[in-house]
Amino acid sequence: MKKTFALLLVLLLCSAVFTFAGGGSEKAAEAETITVLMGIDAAGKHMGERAQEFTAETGIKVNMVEVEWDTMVNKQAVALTAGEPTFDIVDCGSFMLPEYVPGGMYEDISDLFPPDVKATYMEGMIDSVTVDGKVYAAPLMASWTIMFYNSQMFEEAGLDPDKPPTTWDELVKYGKAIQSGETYAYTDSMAHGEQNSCVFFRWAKSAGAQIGEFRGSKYYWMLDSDECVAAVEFLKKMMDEGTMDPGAPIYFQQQVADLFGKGHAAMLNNWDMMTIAFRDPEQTPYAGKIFPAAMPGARPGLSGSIEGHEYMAVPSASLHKEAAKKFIKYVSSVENVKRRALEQGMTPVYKELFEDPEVQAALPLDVIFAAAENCYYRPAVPEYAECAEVISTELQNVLVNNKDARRAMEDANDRCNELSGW
Amino acid sequence: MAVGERRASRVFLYLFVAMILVVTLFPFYWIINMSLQNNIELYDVPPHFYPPQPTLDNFRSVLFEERGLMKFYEAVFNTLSVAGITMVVCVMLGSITGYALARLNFKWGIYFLFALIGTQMIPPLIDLIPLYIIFSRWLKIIDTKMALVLGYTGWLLPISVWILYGYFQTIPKDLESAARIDGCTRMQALFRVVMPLSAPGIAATAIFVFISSTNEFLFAMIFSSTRRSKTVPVALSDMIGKYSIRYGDMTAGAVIAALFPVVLALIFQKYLVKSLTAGGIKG
Amino acid sequence: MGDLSSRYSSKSIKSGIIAPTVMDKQRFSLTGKLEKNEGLFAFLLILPALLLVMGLYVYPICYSFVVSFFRSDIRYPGVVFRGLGNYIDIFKRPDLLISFWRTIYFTVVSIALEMVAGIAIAVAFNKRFVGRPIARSIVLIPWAIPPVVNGIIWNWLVHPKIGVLNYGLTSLGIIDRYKPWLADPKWALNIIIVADAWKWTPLVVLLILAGLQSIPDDLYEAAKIDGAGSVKTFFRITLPVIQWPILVTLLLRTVEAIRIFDIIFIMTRGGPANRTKLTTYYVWELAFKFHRLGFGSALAYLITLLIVVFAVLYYKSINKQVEY
Repeated sequence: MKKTFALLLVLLLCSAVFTFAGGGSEKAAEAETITVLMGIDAAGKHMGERAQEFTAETGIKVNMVEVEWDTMVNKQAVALTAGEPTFDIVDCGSFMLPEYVPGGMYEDISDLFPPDVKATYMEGMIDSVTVDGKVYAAPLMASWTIMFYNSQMFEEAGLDPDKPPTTWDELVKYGKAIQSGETYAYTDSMAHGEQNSCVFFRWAKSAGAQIGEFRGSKYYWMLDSDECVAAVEFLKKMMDEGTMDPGAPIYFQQQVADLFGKGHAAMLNNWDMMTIAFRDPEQTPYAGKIFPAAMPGARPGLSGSIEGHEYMAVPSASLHKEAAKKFIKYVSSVENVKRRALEQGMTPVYKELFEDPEVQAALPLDVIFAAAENCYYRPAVPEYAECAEVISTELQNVLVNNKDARRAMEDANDRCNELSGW
Repeated sequence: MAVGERRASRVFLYLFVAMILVVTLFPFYWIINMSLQNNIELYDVPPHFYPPQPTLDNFRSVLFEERGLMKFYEAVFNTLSVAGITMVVCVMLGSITGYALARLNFKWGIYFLFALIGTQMIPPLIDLIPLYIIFSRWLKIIDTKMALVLGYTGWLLPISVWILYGYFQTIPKDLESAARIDGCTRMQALFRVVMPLSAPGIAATAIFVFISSTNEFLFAMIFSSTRRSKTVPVALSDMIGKYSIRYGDMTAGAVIAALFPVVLALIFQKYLVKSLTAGGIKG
Repeated sequence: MGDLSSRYSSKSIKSGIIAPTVMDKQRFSLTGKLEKNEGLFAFLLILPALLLVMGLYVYPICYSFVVSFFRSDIRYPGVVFRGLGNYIDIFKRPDLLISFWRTIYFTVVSIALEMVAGIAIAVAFNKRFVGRPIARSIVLIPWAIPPVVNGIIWNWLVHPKIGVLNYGLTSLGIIDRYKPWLADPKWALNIIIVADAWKWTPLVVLLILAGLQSIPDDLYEAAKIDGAGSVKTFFRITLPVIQWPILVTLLLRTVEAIRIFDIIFIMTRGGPANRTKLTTYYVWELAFKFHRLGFGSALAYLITLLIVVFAVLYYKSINKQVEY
């Protein structure tokens, strides 16, 4: 026993030396280093390369931290709440601003957006991250949800592959033609959480609902309107009739795109950047047969969508703010945004790029713009996260607990308004 | 016991063991099954019980492709070194502490024990922010393996002490007294008599600390960021994209990740045998 | 290994020369003082552990405890002392109170499963049979699989469309349509219990098995001679000796079960409709997702109280160490 123990001890001592010796050398950097925290999907495959190009140009080293979205949110929450300068740039969505700006945790970067620069951006992109006239985040990419449909499955069911449904009734009709055994017409990611609330918002919008409005600085929710209730009832109806996959209440965003791509459903609502993924034969046997379309509305002319723009913010605890801003400028250059559009399908944020023929060929811009017109903007209020949670809970209550839709929406509305300070 | 009875109980034993192994292995067999399929086969209905076209692609991609700016084998190295060092520290400190509490009489020993385990009763979630301040502001070791070792030791040491305390108590005091009468110092008595006898307890603690460290997720998620210190559980969770989950990579990574603790267990489990000295005084 | 006393004597022969020197040293040196003063020796032994654990935990525990009496929310800056306000608010929220009951349900059921199965397996694996070393290592595999993967695999196994469970049940004719198990409020928590128990039973096996090693064969022999059946042997001999490992394991698992978070996050995010949102999940949600640190800390300390209650119950109901 002694010998094994001694051997193990020696092995461990060696690896300890290895371990700790390796870590120390990072400190001897003469060059400035910035640490960038980003979600893996926002960064895409090429952010590391961009970082290296940036270093070559400016000599500023970039320490990229790429992790999955939820991890990113948690790390950001801990580091910023503790007030530590661990990160110089963080990934964020516009709904995260009201969480960090009141405490002064995001740095004011209005100097990056003088009026002439601001004008080159899409409408509303900078405004959604402006608080009291100051800009707190820089757009990384734009994103909306659109519908995708599997034209091959349409053909096989005897439907016209060029005519996706545009109204709810058509959706159900198409559904009846496609449904069989375990194949469903439509599927969605309704697992409990933010994605579920997004589903609600999309459908409510496509029912023509207003959902809520700002009264002064507080947001007043109107979730119990007839249109909202109609949307919820329609979702339940779809599930009961088999138009929608009854597994939807447990599908996360991540899983549902995969299921759709493999042919378990014929239609799906998802983020616009998936257009590229659905063209990849390694991801789906239906590559090239999946097309984007506008989400069907309750009546012709209605549609629904949600925005998911991603931004970069600079924490005020950062010790390298100027370097961070340089990196942001580099990554947001027109050229780099165009590259992201072509390589990864990320909708660009500059108006001029929408005229660019290459971009037009790569992305379904007409569908995306239609989605932008019918988009619901999640209110940038501090209690948004809690309200979204309530909405998701009540929606699930209707779907799996058989709660009455109107009562559920009324309960949700009462609670949300209570949280919003009414 | 009659011969027939004994045979029946042997059969029963083997059946039970077989059943346990099946239940234990089924999900793991499914992981291996998944790791050998390609992305498209994975979604076939009904599911495949064995890969129709087995491929090592997933293993190749997880080991050699960069994801999140690091390769999986770097995460494996991080996890193994952190777990290994934590294991040694916990076993060593745990033994001497457990021994002190078990053998040496001092009243406040039991309070110390409770204080130790008391630190573990608080959900670690709310300790994250002050711990972050400690590690980042005061110690400046964020995103290093040292931070993980320190954090894990703080977490696992109290439990190690508790486990070892229990085992030391089962060793008869007479053996030690005999040793001391023969002229051993306390330290010698500890290392030459008590430790070898508690081999099962020490082995169990070692395995426990090692596997707990390799599994730990929350602390690693917050305190490690880059290839310098990212561990396997965090690397595996990075395979969950916002839009799709890379099941092939993840299951391949899981198979690799599960192998190391199992190998360690194989090495250590020979100490999980009765020490022949139990009752040796009388012999 | 031979008989210990004889092995030991050979050492004493070698150290026979040392003995008088030790006696001399006793009077003049630190080691000498150590020999005499048990208390000092003990203190020095526990000092490293004391420093490490307390150093790491005193600040965080004080911090979070103090914070629980304030409204600490980065969205609304400004320090607001609330006294017991946070604690009282918890009792005003029915969803939090229900989660306590669900947490207790989860804890009791999963631990019962793990302990019974674990002890049974440990006893079985204590007997000699062909392939025992391999079996013992294999049985540790569920525990060695990272929790993220565990959650994903069980998600996969009970998946409505590509899950083996549905496939098996429909083939056997028990159900006629594929069922989304995790969407059913009645089943979701139970499936998580199974997934959790599958993962943690090996730990119980490990600790109990190690504890079983300290039962000398003589005791079993004596019991056999006296004509005791295996059941009686188990309850009279085995069980009392492994009381301490059982206590440790029980406590360990209870603490972990009440604090469960990872697997819920991966499998259901607290759904369907908050059915699997156990109390610690709420702590994460309140403290990190909603940034209500003060409120979350208060909830966490209530959880701690629950754990302490369990711990005291366990300790009281298990008799003190068996001395022999």
